[in-house]
Amino acid sequence: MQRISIDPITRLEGHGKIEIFLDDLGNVANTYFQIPELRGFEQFCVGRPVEEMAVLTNRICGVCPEAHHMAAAKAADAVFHVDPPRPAKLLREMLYSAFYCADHTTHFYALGGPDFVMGPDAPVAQRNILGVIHKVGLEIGGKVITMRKYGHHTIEIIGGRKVHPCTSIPGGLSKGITKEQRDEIEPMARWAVDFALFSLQLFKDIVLKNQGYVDMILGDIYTHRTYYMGMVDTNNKVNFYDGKVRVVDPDGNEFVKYSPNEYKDVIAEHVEPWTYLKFPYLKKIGWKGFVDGKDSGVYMATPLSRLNASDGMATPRAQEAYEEFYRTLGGKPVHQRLAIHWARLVELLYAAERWVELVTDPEITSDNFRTIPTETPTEGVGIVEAPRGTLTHHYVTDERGLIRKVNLIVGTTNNYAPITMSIKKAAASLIKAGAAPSEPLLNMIEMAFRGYDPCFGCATHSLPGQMPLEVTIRNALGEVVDVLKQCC
Amino acid sequence: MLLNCHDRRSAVYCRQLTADADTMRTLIVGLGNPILSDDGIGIRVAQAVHERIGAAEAEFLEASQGGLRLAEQLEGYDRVILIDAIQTRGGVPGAIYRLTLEDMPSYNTDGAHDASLKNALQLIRQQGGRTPDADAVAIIAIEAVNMLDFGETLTPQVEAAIPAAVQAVLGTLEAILLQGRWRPAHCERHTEFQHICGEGQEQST
Repeated sequence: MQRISIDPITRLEGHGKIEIFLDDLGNVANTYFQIPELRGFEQFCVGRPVEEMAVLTNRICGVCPEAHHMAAAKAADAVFHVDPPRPAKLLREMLYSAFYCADHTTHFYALGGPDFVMGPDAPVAQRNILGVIHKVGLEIGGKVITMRKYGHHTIEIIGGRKVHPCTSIPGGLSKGITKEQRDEIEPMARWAVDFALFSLQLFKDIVLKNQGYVDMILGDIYTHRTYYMGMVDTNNKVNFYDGKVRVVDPDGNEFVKYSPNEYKDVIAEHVEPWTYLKFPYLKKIGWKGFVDGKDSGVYMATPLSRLNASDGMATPRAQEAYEEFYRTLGGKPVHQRLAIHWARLVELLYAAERWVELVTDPEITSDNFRTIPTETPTEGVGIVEAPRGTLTHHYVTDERGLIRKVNLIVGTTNNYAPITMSIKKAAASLIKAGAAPSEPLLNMIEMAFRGYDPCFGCATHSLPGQMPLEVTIRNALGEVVDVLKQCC
Repeated sequence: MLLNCHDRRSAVYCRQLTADADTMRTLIVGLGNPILSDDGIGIRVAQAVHERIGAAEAEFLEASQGGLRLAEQLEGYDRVILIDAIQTRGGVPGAIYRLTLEDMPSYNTDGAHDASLKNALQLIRQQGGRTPDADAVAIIAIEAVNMLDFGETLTPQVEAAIPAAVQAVLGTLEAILLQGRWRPAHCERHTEFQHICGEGQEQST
């Protein structure tokens, strides 16, 4: 048996490793997507005041501290049995909308976009954000930087800090915003709407007008029929900050809709011997292995999942984009994983429009930004939609509010099973017996999971000893017969 | 500007620093996660350097993210020293490396949801932003042991490396302030990621 090892994965946080095992004929026998698991978080948290969790947990992940901050804040609200006043919810959601705009922009232009703009077989040195700018135009770079700057500045105004927000506390926020700050934020939000529309148009021009890309998106290689998860409001429209979590089956029918404190009734976790990370699945369906279909408990939680699990978007232009998305791709639900990139841009537009709605709400500068908790703290669950999937924080405290138990299901963990399935299917489809794997081919395998934007780094930014993509091919005796490297 | 002229520095050197410091901005960054065991070494060393020299010769920053987000934080500075953890294959815990941007791989090193630091700095520069030249970015990396367990303490070998790492940062700061770039002439490129210097505290593995 031959072994192909992709270690580590390019352009992704953390130190993931893909191993592809070939049989004696050179066909794919199996694939494994392994990642290191960070350990001891619960033990680290036990005994700490629950109100610290919103600051502490945003250190878990270097990519989306804002998502952890919000999930932790909502869980702490629940622990104290306190419902923040409306202005506090508006402010939190505005911070979160600004964060979404910055994060989704970055993913499309720097991580997912290069595969389409430059092409999956472009030289690796060009498949990055500089390549995109070189091909599409210098002004794109300026727009990306501006979008990030506006997002981070809004986060700083509301969250107190540009990187690790610290103002969400049980019952609301520690501070509001002034009318002057509101006036500073509004033009940034309006600019974001124009930028999102521009990005969607760019996607149409570059991707949808290229028949080869459309065929690739719609092809079977990148398609799986699974359940889909996403948070929705009372009208079943996509919501990133608040609501219930809805799951639809592979036919698009509602399977379950649950409140945060019911998550354990819906989600269970499967253990495999070859990885420390667990595989969440739908408890009522059961774990049937890494397989598609209505009888398999595997679900996905991504931008595409959120669109599939909803009945639409709550803002007008995003709703138009949503309708065009499904009209073009043949109706709901969409199972093609590469469509996650397009769905992400639909969400970008929603986040920008929602940002405008929130900043123009008359209550956004209200002084009523906190309800002081008065009840004895016990237990609570907070859920938000992180850009990479549904994020659940569950805390149990003693009567003083000191942490006794912590359970987190992070965005990417939801997708561990579908990512594993996508890698296997792409590898099996693309690696043919007797043909040596090429760099473009390996990139197309990586594309199978890049749309998920998996995030395992959790703020570890150690410089590695060996980071370029390395593919080692071994024969049945384990001897290295070939090594492919992407040079840095 | 009053400078703290410490160690072996001459009056001429101090005068030059004073002149440069009026126009050039220098930043020392402790990079890492302070609640993830040895990933906090960069921040710990930066704090120790700050305690040693104060804020007269450089500004200080703690950062947890690389790539675009780090590059955005470097905008406006002419010279930068990054202090971070590293894990090399077969590396000796606590070993200290001097690296450049050129030593860093193009991908995934330092903020892989967006861009390499080198590309991110170039992106900002393309848009008219003021960023340090590649040879004005020094990286002091310390070989870490435990990067997977949550905790606020370092492993003993890594903790013991702090004084030497502080010296490495100070030596680099001296070079970078005097020459406008960090790499002293007596440093030779030794391996893909490593520079061995003729003096100072840096050690090869």
